[in-house]
Amino acid sequence: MNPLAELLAVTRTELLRNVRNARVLILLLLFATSTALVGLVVGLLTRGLDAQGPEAAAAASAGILGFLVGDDGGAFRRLSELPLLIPIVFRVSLFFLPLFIALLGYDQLSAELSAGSVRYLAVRARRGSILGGKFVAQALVLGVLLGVVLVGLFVAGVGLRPELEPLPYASAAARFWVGGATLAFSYLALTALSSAVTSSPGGSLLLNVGALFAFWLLDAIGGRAAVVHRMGGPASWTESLRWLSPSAYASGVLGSSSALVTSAIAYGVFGGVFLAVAWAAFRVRDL
Amino acid sequence: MTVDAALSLDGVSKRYGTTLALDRVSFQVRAGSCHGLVGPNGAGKTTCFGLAAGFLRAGTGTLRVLGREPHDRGPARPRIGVLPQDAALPSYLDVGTLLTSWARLSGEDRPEAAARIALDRVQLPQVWDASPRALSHGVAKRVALAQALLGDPALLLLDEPTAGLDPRAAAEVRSLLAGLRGQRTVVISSHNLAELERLCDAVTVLDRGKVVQDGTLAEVTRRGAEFSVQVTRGDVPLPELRALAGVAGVELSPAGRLAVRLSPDAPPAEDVIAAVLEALLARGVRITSLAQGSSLEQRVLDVTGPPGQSG
Repeated sequence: MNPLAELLAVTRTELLRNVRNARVLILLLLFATSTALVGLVVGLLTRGLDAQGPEAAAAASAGILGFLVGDDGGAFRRLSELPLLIPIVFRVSLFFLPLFIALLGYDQLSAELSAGSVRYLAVRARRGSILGGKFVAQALVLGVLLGVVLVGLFVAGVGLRPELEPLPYASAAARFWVGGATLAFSYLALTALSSAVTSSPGGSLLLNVGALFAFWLLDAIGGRAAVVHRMGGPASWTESLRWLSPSAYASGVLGSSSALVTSAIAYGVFGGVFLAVAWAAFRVRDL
Repeated sequence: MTVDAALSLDGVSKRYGTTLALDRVSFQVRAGSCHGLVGPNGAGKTTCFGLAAGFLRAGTGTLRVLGREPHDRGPARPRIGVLPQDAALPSYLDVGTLLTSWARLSGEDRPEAAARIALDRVQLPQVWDASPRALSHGVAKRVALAQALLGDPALLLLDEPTAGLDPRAAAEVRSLLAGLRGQRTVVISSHNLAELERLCDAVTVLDRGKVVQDGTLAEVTRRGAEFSVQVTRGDVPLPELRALAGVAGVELSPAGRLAVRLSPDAPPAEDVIAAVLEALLARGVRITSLAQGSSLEQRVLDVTGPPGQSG
């Protein structure tokens, strides 16, 4: 069997596994529900802002958008054309997405390694196909989930601002999906790596969450140093630490075209590195 | 490696941390044969299987499976079927879907049909829609055996195929394995040595990671080199027996087992047996049984260390 056919065969089985797995379905439902809840809360808050008058609402929106995209003027303009609810809720979803992905996929390989059932696959398929098939199946699930969440958000947005032009609106949804998907796939690759190098689901989850915390810490330390520098303080080498963390590129997902491309490339590189290390470790390890 | 070796290990060692699981192990499995791998717990049998199946990486030495690297999964990969010892069936899909997906990966053109045939061969067509979680240990073992048969493997590696099965199921599996003899190479590990004696042509005995005996079943059990007679009554004329032509040695155990070793240049074994029996009957000794060679179990006990010393 050629490698592509093998990968597709593993993907097919893994997709079936995902859609028939109660835990996965509950997690997907939980993510969609929590996003809807955040949307509801944000919707109520923005309605409260609107009630304070157009000027107050505009000032508050500008403040929130500035917080979301920093000094990216293009992104600011583009996002201000959308109901405020959409970028806020999407950004909040992206913040929790890595943890959600860890919970979704921590056992994709580690559980099979722990139970020994991976041997039934390994005797007939390349290890790269096993790793890749599991990754692709979960990436498809995540891609669909992101699509569903975005459709829900943009439908809610139409309810809030019926006068919006459909084409730019759809284009914004597509950009959000591309940015969100590259972010999600990169974190999914990290989850695959954690699962491939450990031998128990617990160990995999611990490693995955630990890595997320380490990346968050790098971003926080670098970000703080950057703020201090911007406010006139001394420059520090720790500023550049944040670029070693995938979290540092999350704002680009909502940003202008160049920021989105930079972010997508960065997530592509992170994802590629995580997957390459996972494959290198998985192909030589004892099963 | 000889040309017709389906499996060949040459100086293979494997270490888990500080534990040396296999120490320069060498043996070959002839193509088309049924080969037993025996030894006490911790002898290294499952490690041998793991290496041959490509699940484990050897530390040193050369291992060839059907003439290829064991972890080769390329287009010309070795067609092997494996029954792993302690691998649970995945519980996330029903048996039919699992077997069908494995059949597809094994290169079957009609995966569902192949999966159904495999399940029929282990006489379990009724579990097609069952969840592996709902299967008893014995039924799960037979489903795992069914997956090993997918893809028409030229070499079957079966680690404890009848462990945990009830007597009827074990007999059915033995009958299935007996039916595979000659059609493909089968390597079986089992603690049921009587079972191996019935099924296998050759045996490798491992102990503490080393090969302590290797050869055809006749060689290992010394069928052509000794025989034993169980006597119940009468005086056994030991000096007379030792003087017979072709007899190299005679020992009588307190339990009445008379073991007779044949000398290498002995006349045909039947002639020596006849002479010994004649001498015994002439002295009025009562004979209850006669067996050529030792049982495999006796040989394994002879060549492996005493209980408690195995790793």
